Amino acid sequence: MIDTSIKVLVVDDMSTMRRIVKNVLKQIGFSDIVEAENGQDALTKLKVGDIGLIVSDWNMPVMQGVELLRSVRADPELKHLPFLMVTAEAQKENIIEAVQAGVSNYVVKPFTAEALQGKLEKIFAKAQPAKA
Amino acid sequence: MVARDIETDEADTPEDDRSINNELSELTKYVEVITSTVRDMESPVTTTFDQLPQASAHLNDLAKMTEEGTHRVLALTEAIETNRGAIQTALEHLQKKLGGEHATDVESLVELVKADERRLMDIHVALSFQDLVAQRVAKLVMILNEVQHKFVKLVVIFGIKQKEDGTSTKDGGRGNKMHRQLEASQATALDQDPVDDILSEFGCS
Repeated sequence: MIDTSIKVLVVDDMSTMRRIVKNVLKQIGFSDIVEAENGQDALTKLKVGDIGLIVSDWNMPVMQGVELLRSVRADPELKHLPFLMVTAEAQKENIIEAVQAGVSNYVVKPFTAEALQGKLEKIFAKAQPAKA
Repeated sequence: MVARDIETDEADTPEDDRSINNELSELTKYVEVITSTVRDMESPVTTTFDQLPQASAHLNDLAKMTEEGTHRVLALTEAIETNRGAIQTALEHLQKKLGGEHATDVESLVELVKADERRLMDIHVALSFQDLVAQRVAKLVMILNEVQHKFVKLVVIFGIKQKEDGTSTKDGGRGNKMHRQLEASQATALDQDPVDDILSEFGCS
């Protein structure tokens, strides 16, 4: 069961992509969504607090998604956050790098709303036994 | 007398010196040919050099146009979804007020309106093509910039070869990397199912 009450951070340098992901998340039931246009901007917003889920692209200027992921996993206050990578980078080495960096799950662009929702359900399904 | 003198001169020249003279003569001819070829290339190279920034600008314009068009379509689909939601709510209220056959008729209308919610979301995610276009364009522009840089070196610093891995430029390797990524994304990029298989190997899906 997806916890749609949490605040979501959508990270992508393309404004159209942020808008699309935001609309899909709204359809799933999320209402509290903030945006960032690169990894550095995302870290600034994460430091403010309250964010419960990160949905990030890979290729971004200033700081790439995988670097953001490593920074999040290295921060004691942020390392527990679920991190969904949504990206066109679909080579085997990319996926392995993301897994080794600690990604929660990985969606390949172009994606469907069902695929994104399915990945989120798996992320929250794994998180809930830990909470219990 | 003169011929005999020449014969005598050639006979006195060591064989190694004659060989070196021949080599130098060949080398001189080769350099002349190369120089002439470079001069012939100068005009088309200069033209191409001038066109490359234009090509990059056109590609960036293309990405910008697709972004603006995508935002317009997204705005319209969002407006349609808002109206659709309002219609669905109104029909559901009406269904509760009516009874019998009329309620059944309204229910069928509610189902039609609900089906459009899925279609609108499919339109939304289909528009993510624009993001992929913009990424490919960015890589093409980077490749063009590196080609332009190499043109400059070719023309201005004739005779100094570019290193094979492009590292003689500040970011020369990045263009090659982008080109390899572009080639790889067309040939070996994975779909979601193989990605899920790899993720499951690591216990992630």
